Amino acid sequence: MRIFLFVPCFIDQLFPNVAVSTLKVLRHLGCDVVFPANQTCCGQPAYNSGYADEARLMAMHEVNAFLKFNSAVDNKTIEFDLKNDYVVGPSGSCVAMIRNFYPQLLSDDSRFNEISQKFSSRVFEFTEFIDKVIGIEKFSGKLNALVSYHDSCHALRELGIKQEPRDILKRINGLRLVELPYNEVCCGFGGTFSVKFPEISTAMANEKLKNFEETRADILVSSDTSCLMHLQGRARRSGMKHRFAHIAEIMAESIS
Amino acid sequence: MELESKHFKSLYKEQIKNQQLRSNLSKATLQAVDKRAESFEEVDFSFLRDEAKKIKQESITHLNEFLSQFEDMAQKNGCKIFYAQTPEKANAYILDAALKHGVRTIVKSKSMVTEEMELVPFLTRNGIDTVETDLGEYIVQLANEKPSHITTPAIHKSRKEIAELFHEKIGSDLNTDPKFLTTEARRVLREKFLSADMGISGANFLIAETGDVVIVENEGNARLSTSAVKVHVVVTGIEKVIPQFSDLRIFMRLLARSSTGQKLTSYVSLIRGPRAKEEKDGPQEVHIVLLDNGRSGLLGTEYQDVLHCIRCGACLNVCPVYRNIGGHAYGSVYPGPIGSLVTPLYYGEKNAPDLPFASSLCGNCTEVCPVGIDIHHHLLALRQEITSSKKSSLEKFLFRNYRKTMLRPGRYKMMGKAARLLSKTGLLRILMKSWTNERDLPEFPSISFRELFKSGRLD
Repeated sequence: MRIFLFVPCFIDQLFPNVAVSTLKVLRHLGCDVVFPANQTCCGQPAYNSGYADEARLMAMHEVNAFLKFNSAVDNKTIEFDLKNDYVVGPSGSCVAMIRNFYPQLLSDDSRFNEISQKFSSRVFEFTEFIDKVIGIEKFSGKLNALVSYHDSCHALRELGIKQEPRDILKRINGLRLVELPYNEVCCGFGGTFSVKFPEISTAMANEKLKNFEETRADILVSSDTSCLMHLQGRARRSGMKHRFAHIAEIMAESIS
Repeated sequence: MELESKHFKSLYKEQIKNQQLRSNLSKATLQAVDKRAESFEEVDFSFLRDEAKKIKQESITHLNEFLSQFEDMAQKNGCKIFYAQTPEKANAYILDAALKHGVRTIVKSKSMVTEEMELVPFLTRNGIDTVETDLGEYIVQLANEKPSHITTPAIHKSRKEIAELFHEKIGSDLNTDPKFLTTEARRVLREKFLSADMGISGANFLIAETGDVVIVENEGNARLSTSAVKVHVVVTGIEKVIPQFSDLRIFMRLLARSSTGQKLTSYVSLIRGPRAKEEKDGPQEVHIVLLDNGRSGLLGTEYQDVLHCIRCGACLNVCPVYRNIGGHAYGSVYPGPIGSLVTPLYYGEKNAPDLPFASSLCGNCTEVCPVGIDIHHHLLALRQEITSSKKSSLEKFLFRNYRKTMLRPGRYKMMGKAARLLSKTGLLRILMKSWTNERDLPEFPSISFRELFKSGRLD
């Protein structure tokens, strides 16, 4: 099974360990993982801020970057097989951008209309890919930890992912999951919302962190790093020492 | 017309500082969220929502036909119909009717449409004592405020605040017991009901097939203000019409559950015209005022489904933004997610340039909407309209350059490196102060994933 690894720009630049962990877990599960080196940003920040034209250009760039690229390892040309290859990324939010919004964003462009439909349907969020394509039973790990899980709104509502990450965490021996009260309420990140309305954004983070503290868990796990960046930033400022980790990091630690 | 919603940014910054307000809201909305969820356990929400959406789609797509069918039927039932393009025309018609009957006191039940018209201040200015009889509305009227929620107008107030208000305004003892407070309001309002000559109500549904006006409520005040008066005036929006009586079977199961988590409200009134010859009670005249006020401008646009709204308030209750800033921050009759759509769509984007952006796009509103309005995606579409209507801005410049960087992987790599270096100097913290004022930046790594991958260290 060949996977084209989708590494959202801010994970690439700020949280490389999330991508490293994703790579490690996918390889551990027997996948052949390639990394299209020309990928940059899916365009979501622009799209959600109302700049569809800018986002469209980025979407075209991103689709092209995945369809064909030269391998960083041996400089061989690698082409995406729309029937057999998959794109997998450790972010529900960015995956939703490609899978749900690219087709409509590119629908008026004759060059991209058809291909973006086909391409988008091959794009998966990391935990749903393990559940739906690889098979969850192939994964197991061991890690002593008391964790809580934060659903990102885009994973939850745009992609309909709820049970997958929980089922995965249950396969880690020694890990105990405590549910957050009001686990379907947004953490307040919301992309540029977090800097346009910082007072509202952090007030929402405060509520989430209060609920997290109530669980008495040590680690807040999520499948979206953007929520975690926001929550961790707020937690550190308020003196909280808890750990905030992407589910891929927890999985990678559990198999090492 | 210029709306307060233009100043959303300064309004919300004031409101969010109010800890008491946020604690009141948090308690009330989360309780509503829980009760809603519980009440839908025994019925199939998505089935009902899809059915309701179909009915509303049908109604709104053929709005003119259903309205004229409603008009015919209601007239046959003895009602007088008045279409008002603007609030001014609606207000003038109602004042005229009141003057004709020598009305001195009006009892009014809940209606958000009359808030659009600022009807109560208008009638008061014209010398007619107009009293809100819904408990929440009465509280808000006593406090000289506006409703901060579509269905629970005084949601921003705690019991203690209400007790103090009653103490000050109607001389009640300082007692926070809800039963006591309700009895106090009833004591004052009974007198008003007895002396009123006219009643004004809203409407939840207008049925084209029968000409019925349907009012859903919990306090019985709407029933009283529509039956124990000489003249009853219904004021509502043109979008409230539904085709058939039997359509109610869907909406009755959805509305109360979405709104308060009840299976059904305590009262559902079906009003079919004034008192008949052989009847002993009921109003002698029933007027139905149908307000447009920007609604028909949505017909045929991608936002048409906003007219499906049955004003249940579920999207407000689940909205974490609303929960933290309250309804008054929106500076508009309709707050919350639906308000962030309705306000710019009815009154123009210039009147609410920030509202469509004041959402984390979490989508919880869309999820709970009982008539399937695609609320958060509409907000996204409105953002595009607003940014494209601006010729130039710093933000536009930044996004253009952002895109230019992202189309060139080499430049992207270089910028990433620069940002990571910059983070070491503290300059980034200053540049990112809307983030760093209340949050720490993450620790920036020395190397990106792509550099790691290329280096072969991950093989």
